[in-house]
Amino acid sequence: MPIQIDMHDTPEAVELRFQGNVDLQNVEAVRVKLAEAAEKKAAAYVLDFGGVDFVDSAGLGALVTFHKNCKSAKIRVLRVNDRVRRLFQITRLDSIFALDG
Amino acid sequence: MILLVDDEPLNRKVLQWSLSKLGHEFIHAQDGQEAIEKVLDGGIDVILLDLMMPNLDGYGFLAWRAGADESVKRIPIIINSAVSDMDSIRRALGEGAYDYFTKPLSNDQLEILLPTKVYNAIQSHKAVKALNERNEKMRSELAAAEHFQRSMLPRVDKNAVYGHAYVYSPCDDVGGDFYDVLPAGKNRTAFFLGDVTGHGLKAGMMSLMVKSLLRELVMRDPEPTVLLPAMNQRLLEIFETGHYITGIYGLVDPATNSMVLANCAHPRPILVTPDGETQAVEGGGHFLGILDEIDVETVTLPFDKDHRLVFYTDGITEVLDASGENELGVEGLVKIVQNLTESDVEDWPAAINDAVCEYHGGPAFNDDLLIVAAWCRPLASREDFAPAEPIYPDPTESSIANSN
Repeated sequence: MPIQIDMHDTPEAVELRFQGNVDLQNVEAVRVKLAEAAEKKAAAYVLDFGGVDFVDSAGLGALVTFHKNCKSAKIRVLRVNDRVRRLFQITRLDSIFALDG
Repeated sequence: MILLVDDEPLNRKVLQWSLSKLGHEFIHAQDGQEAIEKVLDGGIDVILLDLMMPNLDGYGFLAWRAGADESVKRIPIIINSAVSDMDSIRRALGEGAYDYFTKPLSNDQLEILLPTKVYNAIQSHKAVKALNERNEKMRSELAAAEHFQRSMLPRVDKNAVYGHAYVYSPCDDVGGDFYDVLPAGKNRTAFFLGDVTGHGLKAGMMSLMVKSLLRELVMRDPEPTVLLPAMNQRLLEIFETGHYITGIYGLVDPATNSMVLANCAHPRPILVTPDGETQAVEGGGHFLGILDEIDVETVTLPFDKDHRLVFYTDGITEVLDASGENELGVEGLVKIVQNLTESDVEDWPAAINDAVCEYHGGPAFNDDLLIVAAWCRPLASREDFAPAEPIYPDPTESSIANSN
């Protein structure tokens, strides 16, 4: 299933809503959208993972690249499921991304 | 060459005249039987086939072709029949004909339509042939790469202090999982099991790069707190954006019967103690090759002839059960290993592989798999211990040499 990523600005942050899996199959689309988001040089980003079932290693790579590209910005990841949360914990990336509910 | 199959010599003459400007040679056959002989002689690029013929007719020829070699099946066939007989044409197209024309042909058709059809058929045949040859070449190169990658796995040396057994199966011919064992000075042994993002040739080449980097860094300083940040820095320079490796690095010291282990965002290894206690080793740091700064966390574990360490790539723990709902997970793997503690450790990797296949309900995986069981032989009993080399296979007896 191709991924759908909607981006919009709020007063506090740039919000990206993901619908689909952040995996090898979709990684190019994710990369492009995240690069576009990083260009905005916002102080904070919110990634809404409510529509994400599954993240694989390639998808994780794209997220970490995004983190590097937006340097000091705060990145929150909302609505992650247990499986994705476990992946962030195993890879210690919960120290880089703030996971909320 | 163009093969003209028709029982009427005049028809073949007219077709040859119409197609002469294409600059190809012609071969004639008066029925299906003769056409088969001509095709088997080779060199045919396209066949113009009449349907109604004595002996073997056009359908008979198509039926023979359906069971012939791939190279014969690829030759395009343009059938022809009387304009009033569209049913025959429909049937022949269903039996694998490439194109058709109807008789009688007008002058315009002979001049324009027929040569165009034949020209396109020949072009398409050439393209398919070239693509096939390229695929064949790629397949054989991939097979060679797989062979090469397998020969790069460390040998199982019954005399080395560090004992291990492993199973490796990439999901494509070549994979991104790798494992290496290196002498680290002072009787110590360093090992690394890694998983490069992605599968296939690209991941395989990256894993070879990491292996050679590992050799260099172990020679310089095998301590994980030194080696892993250095490796991270080097991989940052080498890897494309978004690529990284996870892995398990260990430094085994038989003098102290212990090992220092560092987990770089990899699934947890499993330690089995002499009394059979089996559990996943906690603790871990970041993966390598993507973050500018990484945390390295080490744990020191007892490790001697009675301890076993099982480590593996995530293809094992991420395997799904038959329902496709539940992952095996580290907990599931711990249970599998618990059942093995009485058996010979050298059989563990194969037994684990079997148990994982059973959990999945078949061997079809979509990730690379690598399972290692390791232990330590006592140093004292090995007076003849030569710490320096024989870890890599002698090239003269490598698996490539053996298979020839």
